[in-house]
Amino acid sequence: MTVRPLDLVRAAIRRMQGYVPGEQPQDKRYIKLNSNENPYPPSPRVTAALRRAIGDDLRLYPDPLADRLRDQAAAVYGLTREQILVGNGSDELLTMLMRTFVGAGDRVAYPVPTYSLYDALVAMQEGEAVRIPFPADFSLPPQLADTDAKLIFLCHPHAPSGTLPPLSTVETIAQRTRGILVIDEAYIDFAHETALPLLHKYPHVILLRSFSKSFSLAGLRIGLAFAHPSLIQELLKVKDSYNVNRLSLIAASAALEDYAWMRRNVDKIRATRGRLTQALRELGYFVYDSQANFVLARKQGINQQPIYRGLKERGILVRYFSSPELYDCLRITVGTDEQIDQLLASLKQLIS
Amino acid sequence: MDMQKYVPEWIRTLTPYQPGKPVEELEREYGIQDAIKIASNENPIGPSPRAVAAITAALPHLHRYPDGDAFYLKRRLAEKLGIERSRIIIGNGSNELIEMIVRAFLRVGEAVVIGEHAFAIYRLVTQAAGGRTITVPHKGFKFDLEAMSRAITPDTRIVFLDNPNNPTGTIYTRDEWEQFLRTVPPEVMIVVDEAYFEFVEDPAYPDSFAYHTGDRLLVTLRTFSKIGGLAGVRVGYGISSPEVIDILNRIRQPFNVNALAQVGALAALDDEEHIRRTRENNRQGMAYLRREFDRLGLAYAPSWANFLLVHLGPGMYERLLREGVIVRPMEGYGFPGYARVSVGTPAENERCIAALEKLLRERKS
Repeated sequence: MTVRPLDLVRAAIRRMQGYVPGEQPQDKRYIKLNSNENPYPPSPRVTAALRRAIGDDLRLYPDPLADRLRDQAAAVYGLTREQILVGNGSDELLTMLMRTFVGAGDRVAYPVPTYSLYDALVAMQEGEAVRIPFPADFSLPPQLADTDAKLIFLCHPHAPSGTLPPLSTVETIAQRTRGILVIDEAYIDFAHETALPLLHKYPHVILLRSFSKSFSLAGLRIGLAFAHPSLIQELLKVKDSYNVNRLSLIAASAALEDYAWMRRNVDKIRATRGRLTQALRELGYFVYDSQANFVLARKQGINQQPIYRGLKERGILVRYFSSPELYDCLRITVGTDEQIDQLLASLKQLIS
Repeated sequence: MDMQKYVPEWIRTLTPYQPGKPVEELEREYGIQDAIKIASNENPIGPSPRAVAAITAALPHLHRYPDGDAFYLKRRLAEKLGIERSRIIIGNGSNELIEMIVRAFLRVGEAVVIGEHAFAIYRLVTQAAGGRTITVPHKGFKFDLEAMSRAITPDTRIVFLDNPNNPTGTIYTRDEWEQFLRTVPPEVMIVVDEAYFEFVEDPAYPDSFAYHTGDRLLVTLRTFSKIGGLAGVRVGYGISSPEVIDILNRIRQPFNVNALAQVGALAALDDEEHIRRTRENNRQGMAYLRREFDRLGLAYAPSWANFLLVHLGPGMYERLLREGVIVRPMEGYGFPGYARVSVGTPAENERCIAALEKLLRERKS
């Protein structure tokens, strides 16, 4: 008898494609403006703390609960340890949320287009994805709250548009939903307003934060979830026992200690973002008002794949999405001023 | 506000895994100093020095995402093992791979067969996925493979084995394994967790890697936490057919293995000197502990790994703690009065024995 492993896989998973991350080509040195990484390195304090930690202690398992980092984050964000969970990147926290709250047939609602991992995670739990299309201006569709969903996901600011809805509209959704509202704030440090105050008002609101973007630690995979202690308690039950490695815990602690370093980099990126937005508009793009470290630039009805390819030939990587909602867009990460100058020069050549 | 209504019943009733406490925490709790921890089967001689160097060299690139495909680590592993890269998956520790296997192959309500005294994670992960565990009694300190194969029900999807078994340290032999393979239905996946296989020096040990042939649904799990001395950085790997690996990749988080773990593991893989020294330390430490346990009249399970399951009697774990010697109590694994003692450095082993000797003397007098 021949066994085909595919026959044994849960149907939900058989139907899935894995997430496709931004390309990481190795053929030459590219200017990488495609993965929303921070162009600036983390604080020297992070590097110094890591140098001290890289040694004999690597043989030891990490603190499974990451209490030191939780306490530190609690102090920085005005929370308690019991309201915080540390994950192997916020991707892992999303996975844990799904496992904890979503059973077969449960609804999970989110506005689209958005982070494609949401689709994969819902499929994995055999949940029902309720995908609500954004209007063209990426304002928040109010019917999100009327979906009878167990979980609602919101990127705040949104990816890939970079837009930030007014807090009052987010709050309206929190008030109206009977499920849990997850607000993914991976890019929030680049924005002017956080949804953190909602956490104190609504026990069914969960916030996600990341060290990958503003803190320049994408390589180390650290995310935080902020939630009501009783929800953190449930999430801990599905947590992998040693989910976050020692070095990431140390790096995140050191990064929080040098919060000013992060703020300085964020200020630089915001200034460059303004310049990039302006220049792209002058090149005839519609550019959404970004509150993140990337911008979404659209040439209505004109496929941007040739531009993406032309940039790649010139050594610059940006993100192109082939989907019908986004084929006429480029998502460009805000790099250093120098990188953005090179991008704009190449873009001008390609357009003329 | 009642948050519980959002959570399925099988999660609500889950008691999370209790990992060994960090030394600093125990020192604080018990007001002790200079404690030694021989409780988590970590590498007593430290991490691979090559891994340490490689991790240090990678520090300038932390603002970039890791390679989501772990290309270089997989390529080197594939070369070393003599298999295609498509048969390998890298995890955030092999623990993450256990999760992924259960998530991919088990539906709510379906069954997983495990041994009574196997690694606790298999049961917890199964419960967290809404599955059912069928627990088969050990024969003494060993897996009863015959009984495990008989316990398989029509809705059993996965059998978990760890060889050597944690926490008993025992192995099953090639004969037992091959007999088992003949009786397990082909549609049941066998997962062999070989976290400790590098310590085994017994010719009767069946390395499951040699059995990835034909249609057999088999996953071999390995780790860099033990022989590589990299428990702190979280990296392990799985080997199976390209079809099974493809399925696991579909549910893998895109950047599951951090950048430093990838370079550290790559370097540790080729650090033959460190591997040799680790084995040598383990051989000598194991011989010493056995000899001393014998002398002290303490019974223990035969072990092929880097730890010993030893009967100390009630209350001894706490008393050892107060002496500054941290071992792992085994009540939770169904061994009341037992502790799992990891082989340490010679100095750690001697301190453990000296503390035990003192406490046993006190108990008699």
